[in-house]
Amino acid sequence: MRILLVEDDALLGDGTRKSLGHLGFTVDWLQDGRQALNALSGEKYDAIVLDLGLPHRDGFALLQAARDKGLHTPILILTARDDKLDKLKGFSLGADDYVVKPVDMEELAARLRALIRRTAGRATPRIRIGEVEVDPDTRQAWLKGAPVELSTKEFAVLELLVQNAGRVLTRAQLEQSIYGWGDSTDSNTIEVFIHHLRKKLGSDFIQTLRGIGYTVRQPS
Amino acid sequence: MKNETMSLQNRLALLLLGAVMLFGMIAGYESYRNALHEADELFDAQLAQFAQSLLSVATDLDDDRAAPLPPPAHKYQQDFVFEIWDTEEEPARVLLRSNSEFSLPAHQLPKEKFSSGEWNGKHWRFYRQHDEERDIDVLVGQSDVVREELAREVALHNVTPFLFGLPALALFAILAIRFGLSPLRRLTESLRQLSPEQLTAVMPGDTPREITPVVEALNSLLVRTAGVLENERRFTADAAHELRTPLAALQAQLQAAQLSTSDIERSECLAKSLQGTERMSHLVGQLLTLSRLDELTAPALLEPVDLVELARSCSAELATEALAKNIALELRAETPIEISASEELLRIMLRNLLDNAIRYTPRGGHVTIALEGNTLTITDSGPGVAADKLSLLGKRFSRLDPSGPEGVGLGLSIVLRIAALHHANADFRQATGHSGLAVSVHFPETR
Repeated sequence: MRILLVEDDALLGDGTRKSLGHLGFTVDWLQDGRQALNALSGEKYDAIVLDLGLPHRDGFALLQAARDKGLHTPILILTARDDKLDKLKGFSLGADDYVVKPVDMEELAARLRALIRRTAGRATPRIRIGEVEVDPDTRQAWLKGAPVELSTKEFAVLELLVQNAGRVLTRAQLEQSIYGWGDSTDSNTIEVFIHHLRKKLGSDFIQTLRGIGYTVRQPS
Repeated sequence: MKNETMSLQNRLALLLLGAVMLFGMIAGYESYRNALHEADELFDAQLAQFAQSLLSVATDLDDDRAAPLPPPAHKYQQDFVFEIWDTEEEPARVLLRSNSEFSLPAHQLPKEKFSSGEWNGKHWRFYRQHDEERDIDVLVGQSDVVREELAREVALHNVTPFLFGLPALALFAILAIRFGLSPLRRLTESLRQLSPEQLTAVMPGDTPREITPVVEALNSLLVRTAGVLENERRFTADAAHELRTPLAALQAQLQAAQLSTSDIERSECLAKSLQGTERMSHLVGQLLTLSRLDELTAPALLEPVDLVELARSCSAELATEALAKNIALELRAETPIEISASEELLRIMLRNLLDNAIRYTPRGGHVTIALEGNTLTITDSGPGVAADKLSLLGKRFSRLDPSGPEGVGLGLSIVLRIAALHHANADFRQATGHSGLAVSVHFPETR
């Protein structure tokens, strides 16, 4: 799951990016409101973590601009401002959650997953495709009820595929989702992850559309 | 309006009634004196008339033919005496006297004249008329009791209505004062409705001229107090905000360390956590300094301080940081500059100024401290501040470039506060000739 983190504080941004990274998110981190708005128009994110006090473009302005553009991505405000009026304003401008600093990173991750899950139209965290079950919140997967060990990146690829069950995802889309900016990518890595996933979940779970991409489908 | 000290209303009523009574008494006394004077004139005329009448009818008066006088018909008659003398022979012989038991001190009285004197235990007014042709002397005397009584009565008549009117006057005065003081009561009422949360101007508009200065002073105080309270609230909110972010950073870094599987990343996160605690310590230190400064109205101790020596010692303290960034730190001063100041506070100010300058100056730049007259100027070769943003400098927690060097945004607020405590002016401007900021502090001449 790819997250845009907009936070001007260097230590906080760095720590949040790392923690969320360990908790299964791919995090792009920006320190400036204007840059963040540009990034939003170019990239696709599953959720946005937004600080309010930002240089160049205040968080509220960014939130409003994003919603004005018709962006539906869930936005979580993470700020030091605990005033009720700020909270109400945040929600009225289209924020989906409002968290006051400091926040437990695992709680932040859980909130983000819940937001993403709701956006995908699901109330329960688990997604079941045939004999495979995936829980994005706990980052666990099961095959015929038995837990399957997966690496962070493997899980990220699986998660994206099951979230988009029935749709074909290109390799570029998968790459974009599991690598943040600055992460080194190897053009073969997606194939490697798919290979590992097939070994662990059965060879016909993920289907390849040669030259196009990959998909998983609900058995009819 | 009950109070330990006398209320304004009672005070005014007492003063007013006291003044009325005093003037009443003076008027009464004056009226008595006038009446006395008029009575004197009147009675003197009567006395003379009576003496002359007696003289004109006193022909062929002989003591054996003189019938005794009938008993007095009026109480005042006792205070009215006369004697008729025959002065043809020596010694003179009394022809007729009003009171046979006493004799007037005739020989002491001047002729043809009014005179006053003590006689028979009373004060009298006498008149003596002499007929040369017939050698007859007439003496008349009247006791002052009559005159005084008359004058007293006249005066009393004048004063009586006034005395009876006094309670009515007092009542009217009290009502008038109550009415006159009603704006004060309204002021009290509107002050009572104020609360620290809501400090609005009292009695806008309809204030009587006399209390307008009070109301204006009060309103200006209220506006300033509201401002101070607002500042305080914002300061607390800002302080909380400023502490929350480093706390959040600390938590994020520590959790990242906890979640990390790599030792390198873990130690990196721990190092950053330490950086976070340092930042928080710095922030807390600056907050404490500022709140300590806010409580002061003047430096606790003023002592002679040599600005040059102080600048030198502060520069030396911060030289390590400057050297680490390869910044040329230079002190330009000719002669010692002695001012009366708190050395402790000036040290805090200089450290903050130098710390800022070094922080914002890129590697290889320069920071200059110049002392001239009573002015201290610190110039850096950092990015400077745009002209339209200069006025924002020194506002609490305002960091003009949050992505710039680490800082909590309180340094210049501290500088401004210390300058104000020393009645010094601090101004910020763009450095001349290169990018960078110049901060000047002008200290007043030492008296």
